[in-house]
Amino acid sequence: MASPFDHDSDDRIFTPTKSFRFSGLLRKELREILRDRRTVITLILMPLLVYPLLGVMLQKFFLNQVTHLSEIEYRIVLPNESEGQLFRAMFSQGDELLSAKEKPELEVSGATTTGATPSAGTLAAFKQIKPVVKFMIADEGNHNQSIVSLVREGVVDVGVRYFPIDVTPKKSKEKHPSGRFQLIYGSESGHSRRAAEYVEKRLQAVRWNYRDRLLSQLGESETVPFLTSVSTVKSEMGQATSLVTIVPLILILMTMTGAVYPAIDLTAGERERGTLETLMAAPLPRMWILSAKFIAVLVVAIMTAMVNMTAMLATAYANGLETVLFGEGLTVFVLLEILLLLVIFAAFFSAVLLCITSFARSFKEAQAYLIPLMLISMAPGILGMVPDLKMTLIWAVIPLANIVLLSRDFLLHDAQPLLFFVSVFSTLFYGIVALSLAARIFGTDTILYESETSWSDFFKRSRKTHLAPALNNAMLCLAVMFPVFILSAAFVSRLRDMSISLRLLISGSLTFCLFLLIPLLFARLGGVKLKTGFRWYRPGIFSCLGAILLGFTLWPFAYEIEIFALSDERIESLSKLFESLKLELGAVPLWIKLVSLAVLPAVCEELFFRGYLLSALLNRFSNTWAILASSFLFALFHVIVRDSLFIERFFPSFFMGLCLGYVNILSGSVIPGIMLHMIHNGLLITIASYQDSLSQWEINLENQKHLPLVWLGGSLLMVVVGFFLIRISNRRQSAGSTDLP
Amino acid sequence: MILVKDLTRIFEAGNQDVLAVDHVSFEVQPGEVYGLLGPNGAGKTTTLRMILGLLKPTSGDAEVEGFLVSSHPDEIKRRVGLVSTSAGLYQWLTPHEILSFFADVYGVHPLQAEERIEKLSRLFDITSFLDRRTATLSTGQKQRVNLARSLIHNPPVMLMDEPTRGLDVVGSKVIFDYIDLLREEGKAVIVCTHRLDEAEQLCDRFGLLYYGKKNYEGTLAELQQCTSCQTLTQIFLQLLDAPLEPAGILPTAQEELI
Ligand SMILES: Nc1ncnc2c1ncn2[C@@H]1O[C@H](COP(=O)(O)OP(=O)(O)O)[C@@H](O)[C@H]1O
Ligand SMILES: [Mg+2]
Repeated sequence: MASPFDHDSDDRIFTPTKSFRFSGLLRKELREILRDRRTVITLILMPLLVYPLLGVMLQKFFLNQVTHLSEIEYRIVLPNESEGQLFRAMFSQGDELLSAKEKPELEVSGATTTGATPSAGTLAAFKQIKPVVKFMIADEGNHNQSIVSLVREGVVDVGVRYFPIDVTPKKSKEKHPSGRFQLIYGSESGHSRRAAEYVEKRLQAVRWNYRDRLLSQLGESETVPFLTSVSTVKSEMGQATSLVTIVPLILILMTMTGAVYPAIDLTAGERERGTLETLMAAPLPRMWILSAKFIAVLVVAIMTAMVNMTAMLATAYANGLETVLFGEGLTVFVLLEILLLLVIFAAFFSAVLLCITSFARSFKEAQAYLIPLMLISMAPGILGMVPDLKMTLIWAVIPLANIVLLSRDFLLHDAQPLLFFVSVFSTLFYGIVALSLAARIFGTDTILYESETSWSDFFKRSRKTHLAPALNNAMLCLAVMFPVFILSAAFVSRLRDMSISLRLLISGSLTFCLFLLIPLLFARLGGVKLKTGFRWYRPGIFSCLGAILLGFTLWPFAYEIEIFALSDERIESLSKLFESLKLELGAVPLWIKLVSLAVLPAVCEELFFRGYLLSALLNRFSNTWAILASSFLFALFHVIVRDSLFIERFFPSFFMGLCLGYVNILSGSVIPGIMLHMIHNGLLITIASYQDSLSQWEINLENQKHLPLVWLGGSLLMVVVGFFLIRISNRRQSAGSTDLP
Repeated sequence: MILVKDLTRIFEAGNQDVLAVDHVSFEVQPGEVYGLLGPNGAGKTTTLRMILGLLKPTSGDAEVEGFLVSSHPDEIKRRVGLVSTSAGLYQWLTPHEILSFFADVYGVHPLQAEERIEKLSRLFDITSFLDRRTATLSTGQKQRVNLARSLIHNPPVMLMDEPTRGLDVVGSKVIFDYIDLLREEGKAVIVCTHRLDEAEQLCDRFGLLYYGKKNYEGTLAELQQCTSCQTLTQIFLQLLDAPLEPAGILPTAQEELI
């Protein structure tokens, strides 16, 4: 045999970029899954499977509507009695004209049960029902205003206003009274819109009848008895009846069914076909392998969902159902909204399914794991249909439930930006956690060679000790802390009956558990050496002096940044809020305030954000990026206060995070930061309690003016001196001895 | 080139521990074909997997070109090729796509990869079906694609696990030629097999595993000398007859060599 490497151009120096190798990996995953006939079948079969189910649900919904409709009434409000009489006369004239034209032989009950397709049948029935029309007269007073508000509040379905017009036709000299009816309905309520259409149709019949008569008399006339115009108000009602609420469930069904097969095939399937060993023998980080698989699953899930959606929307459109689904009809905007939600759902399920199938050693095992998951996932889907269920901060961190409620509110244009952000962020987090979990288990010898050592390996304490936590360990820790933090914040806010001192102490101990015990647990699991992992080194004397100086002088800047970020109204509402807090806090002994608001937060937050998290970030990133990232997360946690969000706390917290991070990196230790943090908080609390003012610096808002420039200038000077001291200390230390004490 | 140091692996099967590999040590030089021999369940596959870092050893370590598998698993993987009978191929891809996929993940320059794919496919006679789906290929054709795959990154070390299992005469011939090629290329090769007759022809040096323990090591001549048996099969049968004190009766070849 001749050597295949004889004339090999090995001298060609090539260091492959990561993206080059990753794209090779991704290309293979996509090819493998998209060429698979079973994927294609799922793509086409799924619509066939999902539609009967969907059809049943739609039918149920419409039957519901129809039975209601037989009793339902359209309530029409008119400004006064005389106009009411005129309108009613016109209306009943139109009604007679129309009913004369319509075929009377269709029966309601027959149409609902024997329709060819469910939607066509129910829709036909839907059109046949004759609603009861109820006329009302608005109260005296400001008619126009009250009519609009009656419609908006959903008390009536259609408001009618009348504007008399005097028309003087060209041919005849006599004056001819005419007018314009304005119909007002609620844009968010399908019922209201249908009522308006119902009325308008009857009025139109009268107009056309009048015109026809004139034309038949061959008398040319420009007069009409009246005109109508239709306008809408944004109604507060209508959420409960909107069909939009089932969209989240449909999204769950579609993206999950789309992701199941590729997730199993690309993980358990790889082992079953014997390609896993060769793949694991290649020098690829497991997170890459999982990321490539994730993208492939995501693509298939999105494609499946899009095929389904297209088919479904096409059916809906063909049947004229789209206005029932989406109040305004199907616009490009609505499509884009659905697409965005679809991607979020698909990403979530792709990551979660991959995580679960990574544990499986065969197709069968994977299916056994997935079936319960699929059933469990249906439950949150139904949440979207529960009326009056309000999205709260707690819902926003519950996996799947958060995006279900999010998409309901989003499609109803009722989503709060902050909760939207929290939901998307936590979903992203859960996705990343699921993927890194998958990367930890996929292709390990347990899975690869089916040994009996099994899953307990995964939870066993790492045998090796590490100096700093691995990034995914810290991220996992953060992912556990985030929901726990939100839950505990909500928990504290529930304790209204307790004395404020007790509440402060409870919140202090929760801080301790959360920011210290959870990271300690993760440090143990990851085999991280505590001293190095939390950056607990002895600092230089000058570092401590500098940090103390900074603790006394940084607050004016944080204060100015917060003032800068606030609008005037926000300041007003906040100062009201703090006014009430102030009375409560005044009674608390100073030491309790200092312990629970200064000492504990300083120690715990520093040890986590500038200790554990920062040392994990420093593993992977440069100093600058590590400081930025830890400050961002630090600020994110400070936005959440009890059970609400104070977005304006982000900027000053971010600023403090940057300063503390910089101090930490400069001094090489977490301790100066703890001093700085403690003094910073403690100073503000002490000042506040002695000045009969409030406990924390952001509460100084009550005298919302800017600080005197002299203060700022003086502080700036001190801050510079502080950083300089820490720098000097660092130099001296590294010159003296290289190893840290 | 390859240095195996006291590799040990204990499997926890149920509540009883299985000592699959028991303090196995050996060395393989470039251009040398080392036969790791032993009956089924002797621990050959487990040893190979530990060298490649697919299985974590209970204790001990392996070294390839100065890199320890415990500390630099990726450096080892970059330098090692694996031929295993249990290896499958991606059924929806073509041989060409599979080869360029592995070239990509091993970081071979795309132009060089094309060159190599062309040469390797000529060498293993897979050119004619390079663009067919692998699911439609015969066992022999798949085997040749797998051999080509294992060489795509031109690794200095090749690990082969039962390479001839399930192959006909033609298939075995391909493997023999392949191993000769590896020797000429100066690669360090470990071949695991229970086919002693084949091993005799293929390998330069042998290590005999029995219940996870390495009992003999040496060239055929050395083994013949110290066991006074003519063929590997006879040596083995002798070993099987005295399972209780395998290391005691005869000095191990290792002791003689070092
Ligand atoms: N994943 C595993 N879990 C439990 N026991 C295993 C595992 N792999 C191998 N073994 C056991 O280890 C021993 C050696 O196996 P192996 O290395 O496959 O032998 P060989 O390749 O020489 O036939 C056998 O007794 C086998 O049962
Ligand atoms: Mg074996």
